[in-house]
Amino acid sequence: MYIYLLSAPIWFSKLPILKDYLDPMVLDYLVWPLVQIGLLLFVVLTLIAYLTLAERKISAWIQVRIGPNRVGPQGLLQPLADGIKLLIKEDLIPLKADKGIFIVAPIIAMVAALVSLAVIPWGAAWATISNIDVGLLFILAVSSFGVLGIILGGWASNSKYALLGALRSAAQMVSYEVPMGLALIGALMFTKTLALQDMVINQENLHIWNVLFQPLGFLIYLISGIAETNRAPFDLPEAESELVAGYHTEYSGFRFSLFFIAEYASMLIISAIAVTVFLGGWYLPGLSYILIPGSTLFVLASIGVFAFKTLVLLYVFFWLRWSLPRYRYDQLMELAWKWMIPASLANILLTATILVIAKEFGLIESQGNFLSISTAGYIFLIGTAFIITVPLTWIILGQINARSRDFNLREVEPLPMNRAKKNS
Amino acid sequence: MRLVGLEAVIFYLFAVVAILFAIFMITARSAVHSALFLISTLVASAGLYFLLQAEFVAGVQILIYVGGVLVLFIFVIMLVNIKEEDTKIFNRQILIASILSFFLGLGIIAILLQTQKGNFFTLVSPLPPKIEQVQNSPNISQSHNISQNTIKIGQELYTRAVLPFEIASLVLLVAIVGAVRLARERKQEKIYD
Amino acid sequence: MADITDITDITDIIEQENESNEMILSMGPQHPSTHGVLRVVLKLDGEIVTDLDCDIGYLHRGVEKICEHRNYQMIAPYFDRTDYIAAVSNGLCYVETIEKALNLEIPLRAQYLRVILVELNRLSSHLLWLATHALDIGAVTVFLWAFREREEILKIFENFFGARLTCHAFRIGGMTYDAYDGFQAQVKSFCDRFPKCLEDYETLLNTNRIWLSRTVGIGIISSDDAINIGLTGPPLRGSGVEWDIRKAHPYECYSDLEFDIPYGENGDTYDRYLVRMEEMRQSRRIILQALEKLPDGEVMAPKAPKTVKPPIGEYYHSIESPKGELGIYLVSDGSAQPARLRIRPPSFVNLQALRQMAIGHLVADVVAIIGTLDIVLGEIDR
Repeated sequence: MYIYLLSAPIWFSKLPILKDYLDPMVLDYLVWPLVQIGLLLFVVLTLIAYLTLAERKISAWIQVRIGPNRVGPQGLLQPLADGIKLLIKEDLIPLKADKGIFIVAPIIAMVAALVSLAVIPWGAAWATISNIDVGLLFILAVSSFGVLGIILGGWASNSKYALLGALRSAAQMVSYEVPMGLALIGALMFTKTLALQDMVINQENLHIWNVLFQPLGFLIYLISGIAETNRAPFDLPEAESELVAGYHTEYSGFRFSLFFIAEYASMLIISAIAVTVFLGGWYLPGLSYILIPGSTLFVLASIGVFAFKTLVLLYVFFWLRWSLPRYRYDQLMELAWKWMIPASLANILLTATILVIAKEFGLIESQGNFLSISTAGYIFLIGTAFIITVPLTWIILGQINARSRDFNLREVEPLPMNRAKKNS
Repeated sequence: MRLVGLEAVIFYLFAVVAILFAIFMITARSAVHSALFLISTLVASAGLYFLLQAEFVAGVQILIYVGGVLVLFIFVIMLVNIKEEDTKIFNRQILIASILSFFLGLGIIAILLQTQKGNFFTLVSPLPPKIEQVQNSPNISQSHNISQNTIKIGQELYTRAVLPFEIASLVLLVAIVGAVRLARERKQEKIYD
Repeated sequence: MADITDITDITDIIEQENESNEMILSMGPQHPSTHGVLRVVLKLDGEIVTDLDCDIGYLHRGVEKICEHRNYQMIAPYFDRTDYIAAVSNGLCYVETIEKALNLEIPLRAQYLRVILVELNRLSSHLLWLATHALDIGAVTVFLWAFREREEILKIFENFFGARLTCHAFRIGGMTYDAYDGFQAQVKSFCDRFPKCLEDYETLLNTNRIWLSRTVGIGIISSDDAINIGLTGPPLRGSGVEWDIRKAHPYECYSDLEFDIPYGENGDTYDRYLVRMEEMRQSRRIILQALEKLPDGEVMAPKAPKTVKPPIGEYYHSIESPKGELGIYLVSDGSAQPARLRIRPPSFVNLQALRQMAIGHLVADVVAIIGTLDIVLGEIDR
């Protein structure tokens, strides 16, 4: 087998009914993953539904409103009502649309978003469905697939706003995929693996979160991730003030909600990967002292830690959306090509250099698939990351982009006034 | 290589899908449909790579071809706005094309027969690693599972193949610069600057 | 540059599109950010606007023609419905025109009350502008914050006029009724709170990088061009022309009040934004002064005639409405109905600058520029 499924917990194989009728291998590698997949889809789709409510509540809170509070206590049944509304809405397909692609596009978007869930390490041990050895590559590949749904949806609608939205998103997502992928490479140098579960374990072994080694990479990843999911301030493909609704202008009912679910699912995935790669995944310092590693309680706690970190990042997504204006298309591209990509390349270069220097001084050692770092090494690596990598990249890019039009915003000065000039 | 069990089913599924969609691709009238079928073919062949334990190649195939190249294809198709026209699928070059593809097919079969030494359908290869290798080890790293070919590709690229690798990247760079130069008209430059 | 002014329906557009490689996009009349039912036909090269034309008239109600068949008192409410965002200013302009024609002096208390209400209306209009302008550029939160403050003004209006949108209390010769009890206190408390709110908006926008890059250098119009086109109000002042009718031709009691006229330097969207923000501060200043000086007495001129019949002649009067110079040109034949009444709507004139401002920019900028011009379609189409 090439996809390494993680085996079921012991208590699962001891469940009385299952044990009697099924082979342990089948239990471990067929029944348990199916249970996991079912559970995960249920939890994630419910979570997505409640993320929409959370977003509305948070935006209401930011905007001094109350937010949805009519359906159920405190509006808690609102997602249900929304879902039912979308389901029973008339399913419109524009007359001149390319019918086949119009139907397939939201499915592609949704599937691409949900497939990635399979490899994310939701928690320690059996809480993860599979740990394939190119996990990160898999996620990047699959999420690049999601662009297709958006482009095809926009094109198939046969509407100008949708087409413009689709073109914008194609350019935007292709551009931001590059810095997103490159930003992860710096972290890969420390974890030395592409398998996501192993990345968390490596961080656990080093007793550190990668974000301390890779502050710049984390920042670039987060910004590119927001752009990649078409969220404000990069929500140009669906900028409602310019393009009505962008690529899903012509979509209604449940097809629209598929796009909607895909957007929220990819937000979830982007946050989950950021947590896994940079914020230690389910690893929390000290957790293994309180609970016995490998026990059911530990695994549940690890799931909780992971969920908490992911939700914090999702809150950042919401927060940014409701407080920032929107970039313009060309400025967005400029940010990607003139800032993000050079910065991520510089990050790789500087990180590699620092690692080589540290190795020369014997501060870190490579032991098989792990690094072992001495105390001085920790100080050196974290110090250089914050003192050298970040400021140096900032200064160099600032110098390079000094002639760029948007960089040279004039200083904000108080307006001149016509002081009480009285004439009659 | 003899295929057995589930693996055979998956292999034939992917292979049939890849070939079918390849045929659809060249017969589709709309350029966007063609691109969509090409994507399906590429995804199916990525599945085949997975089956060959070349996860890295499979991932990169999807990432580069589907996520990058074909998205740009569709982008360009949309920009130039090719209409669904009543162009003939077959044109005057059909004779030359069929002769060429006949010889190409012969060549492929000849190479296959030679490399497989005539035992094309009976050759037995060592079976893939067993499930037991990744047995119940809840909290221990599965790092040993990293397939060797990913590491191998990396090592080869930076040791023996470093010169071709660099040359290829240089060619790509030249292509990018050339494309930008060709695409940007004076008028546009004036607007942007 | 092909002439796109004669595009009348969709088929024409499609035909023209096939001829050239440029895309023709019909923005509106149902579009979230054309501020009503404005239709802008854009000619796009990629996303760069190479040409554009406005198609107006979707909200035409024939107000000017209706006026010719109504008595002078009956006309006044129609003016609340031209620029429905600044109903009080519009009402004031009409009432003053007739008073000018009748040569009627109105009581001081009525003057001060009018100024307070008009300036409150300016605040509410500018707040609505800020809200929608920010929304167009994508800052959603500013939208609701500005509406929160606008709500308070509307509450004052509701108490005063009995209506929130079509406020109407000015009569020819003064005001129908005096201020309600607690009016001054309510306005005062709002004014006390308001600077803090302005600071909040400015924290969100003034130095926000994205806001700056979306507004600085966008939709530049030079002061000469602005004067030639006939821009008035904040768009004119944003280009550096110090022109405010409240100063140049003071009406009501503006000459007794102290206030400054802010003006910009670069004539871009950001300057117009700053000008309007500063105008809000100045409006607050005017309101506070007027509240302090508010005299006692009658609110209706004792000599106000029951049937209004202005002498034969032509009259023009203009005020500084929140959007610019709002003028009314009246031809009277001595009867109880005007022979001709023509409105000079500021939005209509200001919208003409759109083409000059927007060509060469991107689609997203067109939206920002429409926002910065602060147009109201009810006023343009009348």
